Amino acid sequence: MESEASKSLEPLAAQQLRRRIDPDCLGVATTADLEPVSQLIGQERAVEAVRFGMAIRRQGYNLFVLGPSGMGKHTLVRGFLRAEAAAAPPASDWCYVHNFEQPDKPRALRLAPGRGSKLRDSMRKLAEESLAAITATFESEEFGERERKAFQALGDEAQQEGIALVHTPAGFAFAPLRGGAVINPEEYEKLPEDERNRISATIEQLQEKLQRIIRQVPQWGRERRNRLKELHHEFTTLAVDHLVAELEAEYADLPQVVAHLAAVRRDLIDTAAQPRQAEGSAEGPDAGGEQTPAWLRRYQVNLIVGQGDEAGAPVVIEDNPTYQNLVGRVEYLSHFGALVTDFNLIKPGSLHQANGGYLMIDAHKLLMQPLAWDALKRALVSRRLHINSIGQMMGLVSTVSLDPESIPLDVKVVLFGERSLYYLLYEWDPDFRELFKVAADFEETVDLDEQTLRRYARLIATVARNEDMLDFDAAACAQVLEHIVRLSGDRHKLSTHMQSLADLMREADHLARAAGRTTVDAASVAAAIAAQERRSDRVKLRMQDSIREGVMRIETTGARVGQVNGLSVFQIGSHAFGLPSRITATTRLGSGEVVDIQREVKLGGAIHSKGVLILSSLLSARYAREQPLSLSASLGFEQTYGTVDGDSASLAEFCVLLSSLAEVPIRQDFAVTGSIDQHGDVQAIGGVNEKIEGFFDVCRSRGLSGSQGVIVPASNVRHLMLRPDVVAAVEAGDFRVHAVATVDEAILLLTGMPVGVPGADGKYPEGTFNRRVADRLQAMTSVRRDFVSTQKPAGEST
Amino acid sequence: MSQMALAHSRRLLLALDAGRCAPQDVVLAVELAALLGRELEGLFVEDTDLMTLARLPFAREVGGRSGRHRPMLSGSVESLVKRRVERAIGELERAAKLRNVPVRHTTARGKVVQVALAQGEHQDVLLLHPFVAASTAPRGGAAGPIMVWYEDCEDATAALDIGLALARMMRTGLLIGVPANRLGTERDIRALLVERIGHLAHQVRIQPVFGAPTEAVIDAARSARAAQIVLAASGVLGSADVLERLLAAIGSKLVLVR
Repeated sequence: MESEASKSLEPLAAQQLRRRIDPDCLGVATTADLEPVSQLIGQERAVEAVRFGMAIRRQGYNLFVLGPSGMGKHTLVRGFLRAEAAAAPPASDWCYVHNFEQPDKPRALRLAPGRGSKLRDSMRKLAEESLAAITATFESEEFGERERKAFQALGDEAQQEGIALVHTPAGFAFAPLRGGAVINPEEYEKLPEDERNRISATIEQLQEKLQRIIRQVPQWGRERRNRLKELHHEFTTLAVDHLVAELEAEYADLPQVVAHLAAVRRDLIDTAAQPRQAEGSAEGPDAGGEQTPAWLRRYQVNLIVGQGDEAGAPVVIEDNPTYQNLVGRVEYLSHFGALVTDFNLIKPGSLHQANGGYLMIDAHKLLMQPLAWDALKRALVSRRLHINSIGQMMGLVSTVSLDPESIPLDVKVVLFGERSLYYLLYEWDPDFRELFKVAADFEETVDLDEQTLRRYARLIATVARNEDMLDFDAAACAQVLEHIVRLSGDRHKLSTHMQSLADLMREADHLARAAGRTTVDAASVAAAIAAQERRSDRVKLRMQDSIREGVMRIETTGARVGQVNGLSVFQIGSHAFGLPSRITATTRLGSGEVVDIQREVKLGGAIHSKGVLILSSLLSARYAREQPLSLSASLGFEQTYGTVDGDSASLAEFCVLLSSLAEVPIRQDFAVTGSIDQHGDVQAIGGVNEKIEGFFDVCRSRGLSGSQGVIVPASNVRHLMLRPDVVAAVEAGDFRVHAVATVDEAILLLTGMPVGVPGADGKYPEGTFNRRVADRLQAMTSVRRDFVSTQKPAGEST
Repeated sequence: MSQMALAHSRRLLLALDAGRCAPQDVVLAVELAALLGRELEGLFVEDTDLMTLARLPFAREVGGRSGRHRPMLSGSVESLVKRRVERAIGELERAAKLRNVPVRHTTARGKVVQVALAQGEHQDVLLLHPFVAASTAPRGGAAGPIMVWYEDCEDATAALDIGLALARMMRTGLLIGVPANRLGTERDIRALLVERIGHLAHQVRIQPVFGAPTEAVIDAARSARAAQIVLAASGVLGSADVLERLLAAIGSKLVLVR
C-alpha cells in the first residue's frame, strides 16, 4: 500500500499536462487545401433527431433543439430545414376578404401558390376600373345642376330689377339694392311711393318664384336619385359585370373564390351603386397611403401569405416572438379621433408565414413574451390559426374589432433552447411533451482521434472560407484545435462550441491581417487567445495583486500546522480563473462535531456542506471506529467573503483537519484540490486547469522554487490541458503537478511523513502520520472520559 | 411635404358667415391648423345686407327647406345670428383644445370675403366657406379631390404644399389645375411633386385648363366635384370679386394662401 502510494508521488510528466496537436498530422500546408464540411461534427444524434422530426408529419412531432448557445444549432437546423423545404411542395397563399354578410368576420381564402397575388391584383383592378367608371358616370351626370341653375337664374332676374337675393340664417330673402348694398330703412322711406310699390310687387313675385323653386328641390332630388339608381344599375351591368365574370371564369376551380366574387357583384349593384353621398367623406382606413374610397376597399383582397417566386415550403425564423408577431394582429387607424379598421388591416403572424412549412423560434425569447407560449400551444393543439387581439382578450379595448375566420394550420415548429429549459418545460407543462415530441440534443464535446482532427481542420477551412478569412496554415490550425481541446475540459475531446471556434478564428484573422500576413499563422492564433484572456482578466489580476502584496495571505513556502492552500475557480462572465485560498482547521476536545464555519455564517453551499459531512464520516471511520470521537473541529476558508460551494476542497479540508489533530505541519508550497468519499478515495473535480494555473501564477509572481506544485485527483489527469507557460515550467523542473488517488497519498505529499496502514491488530505503526492522529484521538477520548466522570454527582455510576 | 413652404403660414383664418355658420364648419379648420402647426382665428362676419334687410318694413324670408314665407324681425335675426356664432365658437374651442391648437375668435360686420381679405395678413392661410344653402349644395362634394389652382405667382408652391397636405389629411386625391398656355408649368409641378412625395401617385392629376381662369376653374372644380380649392392670393383668382364668384358657383371650401 505504502509502495503503491510512493509510485504516484512522482510529479506528472510535461506531456501529461497538455495535449499537443502535431500540425503534420493534418496533412496539408494551409486550409486552402482542405475540402469544406457540410455539417457539424459529432452531432450525429442531433442530426438524426432533426431528420426524424422533419420527416414525420404527425401532430405533436415538433422539435426542441437543446444545447448551450453557440453550438451552431441554428445553422445546422436552418440548413436542414431549407434543404428539406426546397424539395417540399410550396405552401398555399392565404387572403382575407370582406364578408358581405358579417362585415366583422372577414373570410379567409386559400389559393394555390402564386394565385393569391393574382387575385389581389385582379380585384384591385376591378376596384380601380369600377372607381373610374363610376366617376365617369357621375361626371357625365350634371349632378345638382338643375337646382343651381334655377337659383342662378332667379338671382340674375332679381339683379336686373335692382333686387338682391340675400342668404338668411334659415333661407333666402330679397332686398332692394342701392350702390351695390341693401338699401337701409331710412333711404327706403324716402323713396317715392310708386317706387316702393314696384319694389314690393317685384319682391313678392320673386318670392313666389323662389318658393316654387324650393318646393321643387325635393322632387328634383328624388328624380335625380332615381335616375342615378338606373344609371348605376346600368353601369354595373356594363362596367362591372363583365369584369366579375372574367374573374369567375378564371377562378372557377375555387368555389370559395367564386362565391366571394358573386357576393362582390351583388354588393356592387346593391350598395356601391347608391349615390355617393351615402359614403359621405368617410374614407376607409388606409395603412398604405393609398386613397381608396371606403366603399371600394371592401372589394380588395388582403393577401396575408403569398409565396411569390420562391420554390418550396417556407422556412421562417421568428426572432421576436411576441404574441402578435406569432399569430398576427388587426391594426387600427386613427381617423378623425376614432379607431377604425377593416379586413385590409389584418396583418399575418409568423405562423401564417410558416404555414405549410417550418417555423424556428428561440424558446427563451418565446417564454419571455406574455401570452405568446399559450398562443403557440393553442394554435398547435387546435391546428387552426385564429387572430385574437390582446386588447380585446384582456378587455382593454372597447372599440369595434374584427373576428377574422380562422385558417387551418400545418406547421412544424422548431424551438431552440438550453437543456434546463427543455427539462423544465417537460416537467411542468403537460402540453409541452405532447407538442414537442422530438428532442434534438446537441453534444458539447466529441472524442478526439485522428479522423476527428482532420474533420475539424476541414471545419476550420469551411468557416474561413464562409467568412472570407485568410487561410490558416497547419500550425495555426493545430493551435486552434489545441484551444478547442482545452475548451472541452478534457484532453481526449474537442469542444463542439462553434461560436468559440469562429470567434477565435475571426480574431486571429484580424490580427494576421493587421500584421500584414497573407495567412493566419500560429502566432496570430496565440496572440488572439492571449488577447481574449487579457480582455477579461482584470479581476483576476487585481486578486493576484492582493495576494502578491500580502493583503490576501497565501503562503507558498515553508510548512504550517492546520493550514493548507485550497484552490477555487471564479467564473466572471465568460471568463473562469483559479486562485488559491487559505483553508485552516483547529481541533479541541469535544463531542465529535466538525464545525463548517462557511455553513454557520450561511456562506457555504449545500454541496460544500455535504463534503464536510463526508470528511467527518471518514474521520470517524478511520480513527474512531471503536471509541467515541471526542474532538471538536472548525474548518474555515480564510479571507473569503462570498459563498463557497462545491466539494472540491474536501480533500484539502480533510488534510488540514488531520494536520491540526496530529500537529504535523503541511507544506505551504503545495496547493490541493479534489473531493473525497467516505473511504478516503479522491474524486475528480471541475476547473482543474484553471486551478493549477491560478496557483502557478501566484508562485511565479514570487519566483518559482522548483518545489512548488499542485495536488490534483488522478482522475482529473485526462482533463489536463494546461497553458503552454505552465507546461514549460514543469518541463524545466520549476513547478510540479501531482496526481493522487487517495487521501493517504495527498497526506504523504503534504507532510512528508509515512502515512501508515493498520496492522493485523488494527493499529497504525509507530512513527506514522495516522498513528499520531489515532493516538491524539485516543488521548482526547481518555481526557473526555475523565472529565465526564469528575462532573457526575457522587453515587452515580457511569 | 415641404415644411419650408408650409412654414410660410403663421395663422389660419377661418372666415364664416355668422348667420349661417354651423358647429361642424370649424372641424376641418381645426384639423388643418393642427396639420400646419398654426394658430387658428375664427372670424365670424355678420352680413351687413342681412342686418339691413331685417330692418326693412317688408322684410320676409323664404325657408330654405320648407319654402314657406315668414316675416323677418330685426331682433330675432340678430338673436339667431348670435346663438349660431356662440355655438360655433363653443365647438371651435372644444375641437381646438382636443387637438392642442391655439385659437382666437373675432366678430366683424360686412361681406365675408371682403372682411376676411381685409383682416388677413401676409403669410396667413384663409379658409372660406361656400355661400350655397344646405338644400342646394351639391351632395357628397367632400368625397371629391382637393383642387389646387397653380399659376406662376409668389405663393403657388405654398398652395401646392397645402393642397398636398390636405389631400393626405382627407385621404383623397389631388387635382392640380394649371393654365394651358403656360407650357412649362406642368413640368415644374411634376418636378415639385417628385421632390415632395418621391413619385407621382396615381391619385395626383394635373389638368391644363383653357379659357378665362375663373370660369375654367369653376368648370374643372364642378366636373371633379372638388372638396376644396386651394389658391394663391397673389394669383389672378385672389381678388374678392373672383373669390365671391367662386364660392357662389362651386359650393366648395376655398383655401387662400397669402
